[in-house]
Amino acid sequence: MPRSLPIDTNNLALWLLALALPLALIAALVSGPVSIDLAAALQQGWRGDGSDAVILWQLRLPRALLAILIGAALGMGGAAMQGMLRNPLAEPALLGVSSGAALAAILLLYYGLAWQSGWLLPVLAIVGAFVAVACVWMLAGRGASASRLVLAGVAINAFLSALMALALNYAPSMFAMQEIVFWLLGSLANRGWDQLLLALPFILAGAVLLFSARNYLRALSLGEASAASLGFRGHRYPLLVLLGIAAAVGAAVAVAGTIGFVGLVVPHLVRPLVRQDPGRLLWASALAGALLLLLADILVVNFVGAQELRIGAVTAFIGAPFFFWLIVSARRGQGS
Amino acid sequence: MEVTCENLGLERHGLKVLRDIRCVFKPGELTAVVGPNGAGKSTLLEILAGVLVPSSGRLTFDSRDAEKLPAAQRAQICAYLPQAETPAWSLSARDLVALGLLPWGRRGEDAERIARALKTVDAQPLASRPVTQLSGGELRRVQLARLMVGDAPLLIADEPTAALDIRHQLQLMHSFRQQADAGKTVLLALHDLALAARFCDRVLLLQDGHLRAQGAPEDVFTPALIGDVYGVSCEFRWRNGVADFVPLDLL
Amino acid sequence: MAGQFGFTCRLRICWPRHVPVDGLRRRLSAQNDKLSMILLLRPFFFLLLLVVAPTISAESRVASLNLCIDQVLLNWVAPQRIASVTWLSGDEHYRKAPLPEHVVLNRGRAEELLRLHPDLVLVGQYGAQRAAKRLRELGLRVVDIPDAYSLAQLVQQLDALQQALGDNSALAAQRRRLQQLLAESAVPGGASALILSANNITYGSGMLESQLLERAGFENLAARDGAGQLRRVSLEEVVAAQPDLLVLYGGDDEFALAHLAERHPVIRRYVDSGRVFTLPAELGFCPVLVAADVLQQLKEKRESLASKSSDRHQ
Repeated sequence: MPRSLPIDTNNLALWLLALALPLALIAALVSGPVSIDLAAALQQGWRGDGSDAVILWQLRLPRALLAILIGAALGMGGAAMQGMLRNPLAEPALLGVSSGAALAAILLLYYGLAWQSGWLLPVLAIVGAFVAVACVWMLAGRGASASRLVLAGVAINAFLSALMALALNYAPSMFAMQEIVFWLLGSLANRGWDQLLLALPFILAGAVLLFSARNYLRALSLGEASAASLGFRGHRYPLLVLLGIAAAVGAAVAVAGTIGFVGLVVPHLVRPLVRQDPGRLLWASALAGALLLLLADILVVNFVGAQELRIGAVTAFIGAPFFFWLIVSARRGQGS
Repeated sequence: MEVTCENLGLERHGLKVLRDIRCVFKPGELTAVVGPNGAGKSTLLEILAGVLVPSSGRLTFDSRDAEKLPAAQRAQICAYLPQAETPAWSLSARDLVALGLLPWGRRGEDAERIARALKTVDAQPLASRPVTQLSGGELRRVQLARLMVGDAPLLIADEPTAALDIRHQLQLMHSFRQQADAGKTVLLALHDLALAARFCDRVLLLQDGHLRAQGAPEDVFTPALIGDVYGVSCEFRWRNGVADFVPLDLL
Repeated sequence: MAGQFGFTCRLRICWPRHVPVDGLRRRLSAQNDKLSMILLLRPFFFLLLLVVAPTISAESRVASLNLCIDQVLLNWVAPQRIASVTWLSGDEHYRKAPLPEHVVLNRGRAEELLRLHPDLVLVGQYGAQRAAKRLRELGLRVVDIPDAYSLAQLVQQLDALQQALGDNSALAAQRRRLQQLLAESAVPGGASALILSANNITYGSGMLESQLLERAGFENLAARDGAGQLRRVSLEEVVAAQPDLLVLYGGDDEFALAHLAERHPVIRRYVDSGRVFTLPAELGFCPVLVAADVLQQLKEKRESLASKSSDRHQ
């Protein structure tokens, strides 16, 4: 049947994405500023003391896995946010999740808490994300429309950004502006297993929450009233989604700063591949987000320059042209 | 599914949008809810569909309290199509109809059911089209297929015929008639009194949030009552059970 | 702003030590205190100066328009000879020595110093040049002190300071000590070192830090790669280079993302085995203050490393 053909090519594309991820992981492990003897590193194993083994197991592997994890969290969070707000221009940061998490992390890190302090950092970052979302929720009013939520999100976001800048300006760190840029553009540099293990449980929990809300997101493609009549009534489901986004994106922000564009572009990119289904879009976006961020980080790692290339700048460089293309193709579609 | 409304009322921002609605909808009945704009038709349907929670009174499905039913179970009882439903994503018509099966969460025979539902509304050729590219009437038909695709014994549609041409209006009313004849309880908010008079067993006439009259179309659609509620002088002519409704002028 | 006061930002990309205050409130109140103290006590300073002035020789009252010269004055010159230092020295981040109460903090404006009638104004090579020119025109004695970016320039800077300030035993001792350390034949190489500063920056052969390492008998691995100035060094490169000594800069207790590399577990191995040396932050903005100490400590570190490795070999 010719009609089933596009579905097959879509599935093929998803399989290719899934296949590309391990390949990109291998690329991330073999590339870097130092060329290492991979065979020797593998032979020495996990606990190897040689520099090749340390570079592979303690530096490249956790960083690549963290890129995958955070990319997945951002992609999935973006898909969920777009689904919940029924708006293709929504991104996970829209309702203050990222700035709330970043502000909490900044207050924690700069005012007397070490990075190694275990679970406290992601927990409080997620708490920050929740507080931000709760503020948005309350500002918009119970059961508010999506547009009012977005409006409240913009307001809370602006306020949180100002608080972030203020907190960093008064932080003991002398170079507040630089630190603000670090947080706003995100980075995976110098991260290790610590940060990966901190973020992992929260991102997994967020993924489980979002996955359990997939049918709600599907029903929401018809609108809120129809979704309610299909059995998705009350505040339970939107809270489930917000909880999932706050957990996954909050943890990602806590360890890597706010990396933009992934949550916005990736769901756009893969939506045709899942026939616009907001449910399947969740994991497809997670997959594509992981791949995108890993590729961006490979670029960052191998970039030669006096300063590290910021991964947020790379994702924006990938994201912005995509939007140009989107606009141009929409114009062409209108025949004007 | 016998639906009973006992003194249903809804207050919103201190305003009584709906008060004291008392009525029963029986299986096999096709009921039209009519009334002027703002009379509370959509509000009543939203309460029945579980979108709104009544602030007073009681709603029962087969003598079970509707508000105490779990949301998932209630969704299996009642299918609802709101007045304006804009799909957020350009799903294919087939995928949109499939969303009507969400309360049952089943697979397998789905494709067949969806095809059947699309056929009921004369929309099989649209199956693979993205819903965002459909015309208003085409989209409405696909949405009605979504309404009918499941097993819900109670069907509620808010102005289902609004965007449809005369052929599809008639076709649609015939299929609602069939659903009712098959034992379902069907409730439609309608503006077209002639369609209501011709196809429906019962009519609910709402005015300013309260139930002005209910009963068979012949009993409700009298020039005096319509003139009073709508402020319009009109004429009803009955020929072989088909009502001809002619609005004449403003009163 | 800092440049205006002769804090020439030699380490612009790097990250000097943080202000050792740990909270918003403390920092705020400290600044308020300072401000109100200055505002309230300013009239009394003048009274004090009027009383004290006759007892001090007319030649001796010195004002500084440069952060590093501030430190030299505060550390090595008698407090009553100091008339004014820059406002940056009011911050404990830059200052180790106590700040005498009568010393006025200036913001690099000529009129501020004019009112104090200093006998000598010291100004850095860069920064506050307009104020210096103005003061010169008004007949004050203004002396340029060259900045120091190498060991040789350090000695020159000490000479210039001595010339301007006259006989000063602390300065002379410092100069003697430095020259003595430089005269000692460099310990033959064999141990390697690599600097890992904030933002993954390392120091190449042309930098003072590198010279100090080499003088202490270390081979600077960043210089071996041909790096002349500052260069980015990833953790991977640090691990691959396997330096015998890892040199951190301005060891910091405060958190900053810029310092994340130093907190990475792969660095812990160096910390655990005692193969880490932390350069004081002063080396970044006023090397003359600490260069001799650092060189001495590096030499000691080199010897302890050598004895450790010979222990291991036995």
